Amino acid sequence: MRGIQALVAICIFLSACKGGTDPIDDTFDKAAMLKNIGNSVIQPTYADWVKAMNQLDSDSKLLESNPTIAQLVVVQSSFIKAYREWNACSVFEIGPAADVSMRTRVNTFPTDTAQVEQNIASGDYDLDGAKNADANGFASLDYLLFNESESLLSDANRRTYLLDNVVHILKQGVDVSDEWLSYQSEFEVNTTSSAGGSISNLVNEINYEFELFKNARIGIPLGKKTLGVTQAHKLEGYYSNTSAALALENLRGIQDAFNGGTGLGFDDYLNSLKATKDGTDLSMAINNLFDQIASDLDGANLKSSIESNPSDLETVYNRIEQLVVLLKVDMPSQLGVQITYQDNDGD
Amino acid sequence: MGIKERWNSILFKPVSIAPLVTFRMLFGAIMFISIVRFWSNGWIESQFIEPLIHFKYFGFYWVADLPDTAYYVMFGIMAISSLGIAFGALYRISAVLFFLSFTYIELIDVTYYLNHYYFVSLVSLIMVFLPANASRSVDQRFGAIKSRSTVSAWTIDILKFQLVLVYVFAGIAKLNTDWLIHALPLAIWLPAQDQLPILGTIFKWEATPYVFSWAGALYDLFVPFFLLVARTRALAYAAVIAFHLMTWWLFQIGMFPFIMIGATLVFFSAAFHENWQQRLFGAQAQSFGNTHVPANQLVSLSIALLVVFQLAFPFRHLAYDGNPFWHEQGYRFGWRVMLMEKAGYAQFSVENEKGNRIEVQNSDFLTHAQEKMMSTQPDLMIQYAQFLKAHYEKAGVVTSGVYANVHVTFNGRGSRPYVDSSVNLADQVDSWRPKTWILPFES
Repeated sequence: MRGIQALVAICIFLSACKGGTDPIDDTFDKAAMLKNIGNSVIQPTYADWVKAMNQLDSDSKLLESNPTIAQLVVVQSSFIKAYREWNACSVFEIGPAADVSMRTRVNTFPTDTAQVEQNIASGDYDLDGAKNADANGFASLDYLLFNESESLLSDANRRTYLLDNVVHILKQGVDVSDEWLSYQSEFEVNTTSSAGGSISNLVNEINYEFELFKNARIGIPLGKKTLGVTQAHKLEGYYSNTSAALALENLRGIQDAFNGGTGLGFDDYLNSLKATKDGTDLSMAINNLFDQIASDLDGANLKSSIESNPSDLETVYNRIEQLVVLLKVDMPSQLGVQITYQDNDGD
Repeated sequence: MGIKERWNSILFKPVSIAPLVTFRMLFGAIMFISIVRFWSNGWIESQFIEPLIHFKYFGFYWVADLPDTAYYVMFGIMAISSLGIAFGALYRISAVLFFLSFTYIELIDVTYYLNHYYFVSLVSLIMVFLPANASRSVDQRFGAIKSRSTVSAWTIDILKFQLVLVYVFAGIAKLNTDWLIHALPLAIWLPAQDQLPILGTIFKWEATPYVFSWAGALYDLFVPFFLLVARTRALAYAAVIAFHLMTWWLFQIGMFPFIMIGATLVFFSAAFHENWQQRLFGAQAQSFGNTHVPANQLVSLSIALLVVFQLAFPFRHLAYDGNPFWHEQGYRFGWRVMLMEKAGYAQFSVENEKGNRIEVQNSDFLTHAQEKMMSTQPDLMIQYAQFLKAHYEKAGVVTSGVYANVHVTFNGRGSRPYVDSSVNLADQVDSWRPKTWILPFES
């Protein structure tokens, strides 16, 4: 009995001297953050992508009936616009996008050009088939539209393959953005920090996407997995030479997911927890690196850098590595989110 | 009376078998449920079949991975033998099979190490030697074992010892600055649960993690003793139920709370256990033979060794400099649970003879769970480095070294470098010796 009394006494003592029932932060509302990320970031980002896809779709249809250089140029430019908008969506592989493995479906790169050519020649292909996983989507369009693109004008089969892919991507975009509307409410209320909760899902996808950014968009072409032997042809947007612009949009998507755009986001969540890294706010350290990486990439030409001066990219690569640590180690640990389902050691 | 006689008189005093029977039934039943839960969660697949490689325990590198179907067979054996334990059917064979299959599966991959798995292995090994089927069992009904109403005291006391050990060591481990003064990691974990009804509001208060930390430490340190004393037992057991249900509700900790809630019933009196068994199963009709068991020096010595080993082994971290939470040398098998929020990121590089490097993408080789554990545990980093060396050499890369850039955060402090990135980890040999390439933790 005395033990229990002592325990109660200690509890009372501690509550009295440690600020008692003062909330750590009474303003932060996880449901409000999720609501904001869904409504003000994910939905508009999908909407922009679908809008650009619709433009690409109608421009490609015109090219089908009117194969001129002028129209080709129009399609090329609406393709780049649509590809960039997709890059900002890529991070949101949760809910309806996760159900269909959206990233792999619409943007597996580099494209398998031999398979693309074979599909065009045979005219017999299922774009959703496993065989065509790396012969479809944006990367195949990049190839068709920017590699010997004049052959599009003379070869109706190429134009058909182009249009089929555009229609295929557009359908994915329309479906996912429709389905998000009904998923949004489920997303908002799933505020648990356990594995499978919306917060855990977002943290995981921010990390997954940023590692793709680091490895697939920059590291692998830079030769980081091949003993320093560069592989420019593995760049996203290699044929259109838009790699840096695409990477920038991808980065913007990830940063928006983190900040919740201009509204409530993980930056505010971390601030409410007073999370710091080496004396500065963790949210600020993260945003500073995002901004520095963006300014390094702004106006860069990844293809020519990789082909002629790969060492130019070491600075930005180094910053990317620093940001991986903050996003993957510091952030989840401060938020106390669970990233795997397996049991932890219990008490 | 000399020490030896006194020790023997404690160990071999005849006591009622009833608590042991309850323990047998509950342990078997809870194990059966755990196995079914593990299986139906798809974890046989995701934890044992899907991973490309498995991290081994130091000293158990010989434990071979199994063919896919063999994992299901092993879990099948566990399920059937746990029922054998519960019903006391072919009890001894069941206990042996359960201990072997459970322990072998645990030894497949250290990624999934949990203190309570270690506890289950120890208890099931001990149960092999207990006459827990000598009453109210299938074996006894069919005459495979002679009925007994009493057993030697050690058969029940050893289980109590095991439980006291878990609590007290868990309590001792909490006696550190982070837990007591900074309320870490609960100050991170509890606010993360502020969406829960009722408790969620309390979790937003600054004092809450302190109250929970201190209450948790005091609970662990003292509850086993309140369970031992008859006068405080009922209240202590109420605390056991409340505490474990709460941690089960708050944290992703699986079956452990139920194991403890079931197992701690062994502290209750013989009368308590006889009472409920009689109500449920009726009176024991059989007449009992002579159940006096003479002192057995082998048993007596084995118990002494087991007790000494278990009291000493969890303290082996004291042999290493620095913060054991940081370097984790001597950390496992010490009943240190829920003491830290730790996360890491390990960027491995494989270097060839010309000094060119391949950066490794961990997800190419490891599952989420494996990467998470490897990124904060030095012995796994050695194993991973050696795997990478072998993998890339097989692919034709003349490997001169495997290096790692690792950043780890511990209890919410900013991430910092964890290992010396100039050390070739593939050349390291795991041993009891201190791993000098782990960078010190300065707070």
